[in-house]
Amino acid sequence: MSRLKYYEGLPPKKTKRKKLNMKEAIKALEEVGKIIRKEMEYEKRSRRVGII
Amino acid sequence: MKKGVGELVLSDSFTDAIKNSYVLLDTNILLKAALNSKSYFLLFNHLIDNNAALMILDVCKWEFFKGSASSIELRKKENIFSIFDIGIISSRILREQVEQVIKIYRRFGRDVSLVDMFLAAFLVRFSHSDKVVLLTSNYKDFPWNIFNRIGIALVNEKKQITPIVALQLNKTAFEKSLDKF
Repeated sequence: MSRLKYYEGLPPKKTKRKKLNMKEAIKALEEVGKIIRKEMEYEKRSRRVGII
Repeated sequence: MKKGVGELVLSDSFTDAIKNSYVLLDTNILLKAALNSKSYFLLFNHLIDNNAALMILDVCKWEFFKGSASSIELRKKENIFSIFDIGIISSRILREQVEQVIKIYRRFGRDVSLVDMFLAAFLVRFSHSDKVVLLTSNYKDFPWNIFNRIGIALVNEKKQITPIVALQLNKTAFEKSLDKF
């Protein structure tokens, strides 16, 4: 959790932002995509059997 | 509409809206980005290339985090915030504005999620700046008579084309509605 940046208002503006690393960014998104798909599958199954 | 790169179509007004701006992301942008990584990478890249400061409300972060089955899954979700340099804004500063949003939404508010009310409250809180915008794919959750749709991008997902809308508060309409409550 420590790497996350929290603000009580608007964050300070940066003049130059770091360029995205395409491979790293897409890989990170894909990994979370797999998790979201599992969560969606769980949601569908739990509705069918009436867990929630 | 100007043709964008690959899976993304951008309007000039969208680029004008996000350029050098504070861009608040709705949870649905992150969820869609995870499910359609390549298309949404182009959107994030466009935002960062145009020096947009990306932000998310803590309530949206929690919405994005919930459902994680392990600390590994949670860390992978956290990683997205680091990679795209997304700052997290505390919703504590929005208490007064959420109460105003409840008033202006009237009956419409019954069907609106609390998270969407916080997003609307954020636009109210920073309505003095024309450099603060909300990006969402659920534009219908934000009534058109109170929020101006100042730019649209189309993301080509595999099964559908999703409009990503940049919103700002219509200050005059908001104040008029609040006065009449």
